[in-house]
Amino acid sequence: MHLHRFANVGLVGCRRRRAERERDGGERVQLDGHEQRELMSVTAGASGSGNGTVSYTVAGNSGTASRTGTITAAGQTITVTQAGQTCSYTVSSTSVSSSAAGGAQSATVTAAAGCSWTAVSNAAWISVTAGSTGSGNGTVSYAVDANTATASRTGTIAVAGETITVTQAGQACSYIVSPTSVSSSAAGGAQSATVTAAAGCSWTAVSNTAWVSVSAGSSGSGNGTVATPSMRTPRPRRAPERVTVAGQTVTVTQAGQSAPPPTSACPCTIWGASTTPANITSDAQAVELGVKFRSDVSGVITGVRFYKGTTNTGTHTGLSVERERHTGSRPRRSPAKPRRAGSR
Amino acid sequence: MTFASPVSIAANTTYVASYHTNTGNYAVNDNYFLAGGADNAPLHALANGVDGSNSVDAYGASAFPKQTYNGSNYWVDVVFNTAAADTTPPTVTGATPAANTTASARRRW
Repeated sequence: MHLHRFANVGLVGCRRRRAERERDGGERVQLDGHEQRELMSVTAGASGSGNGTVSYTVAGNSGTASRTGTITAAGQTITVTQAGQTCSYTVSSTSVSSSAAGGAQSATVTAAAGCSWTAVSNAAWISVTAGSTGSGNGTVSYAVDANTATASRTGTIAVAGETITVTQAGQACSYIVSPTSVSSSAAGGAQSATVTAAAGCSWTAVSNTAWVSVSAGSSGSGNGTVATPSMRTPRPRRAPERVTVAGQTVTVTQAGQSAPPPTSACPCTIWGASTTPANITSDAQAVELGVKFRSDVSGVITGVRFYKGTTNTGTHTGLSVERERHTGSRPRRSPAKPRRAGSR
Repeated sequence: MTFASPVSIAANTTYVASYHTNTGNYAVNDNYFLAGGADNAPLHALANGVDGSNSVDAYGASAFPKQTYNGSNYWVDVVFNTAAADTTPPTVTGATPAANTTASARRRW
């Protein structure tokens, strides 16, 4: 009985090399296998006569695929099928933080050759850009969309049986308040300012002074309006005061009551003595000429002045001060005092 | 020219002060009140539009000057003092024209 002294071993995925050697008086020994190592070797009974036992050793299979080898003994083939390794996977960075702006991220997958895997996003705002499938070691690349909301959010990617959890921060709240500078008359009155902010951004409005109060919108979230009610009644002229809204300052400037005229300046006139008219008309018709005026304070008109050109030589009469009448059929107000003739 | 007795005026109320000349040849700055009033607190000559048109005149005999012409300033001025005001309100003694009647106005070009 002849026996090949070496087994034929076939491997998946390895480059094959056949080596043939002549041994023991022309008997052929065949080795068909991995060039680096001997995966199955006959340890006893490589040759014999009559009944006998062939002993052989099977090396460990570090791969994930099963494999088959054969031993030829006495013209018969012994087929040995060896199971592969169970696949195990390691994913780096299973807990990831992202800024609100989002951006590209990646994770590496460590697995034995032949161990295939997939990467699937479970969030609409996370997309796998590369490495959605792989085998053995690999990299999963994914993109995180910008988070336009102010709240943070969490999404997951399933990779090779593992979970990558992505926590993305929300937008920082920004607030626009308009207008930030308000003028009020001395009488006061309601004012309002609008706050522009993203939903979920809360704010408050606080008056920093006693004479400005917030009547509505002292707190809010997102867009809103802050209103102030009537300011208090007449006060002396004020320095600007402020309402703080959403971290911004609305400056309210309220006019004071018109300052009383310095009494020492009166008697007063509208125009000074040095005022010079542009024209002296040559229109010689008789005419009544007037000026419409007001005074900040009550008082008395003691006289009427007019610029008298050298040719305005006539008799000047009809001097009057009358309260202005308004149009329409409203009754004319009488002169505050009867007209008096002047003399000049 | 001075009044025999002062004429009281109330604060922030529009009045017209006027004089009559029988010879014309008056001083004038056309368009003056179109650009603004004249302020010398507490007195204010009103710009056109504050309370109707300034530039008030009336040709002919002395009358309330209710015509207007181009915001002209006729350089009529008042002498004002803050002395004791007469707070008696004015009373209506007559109205011209009467309600729902027609009156004519002269316009100067």
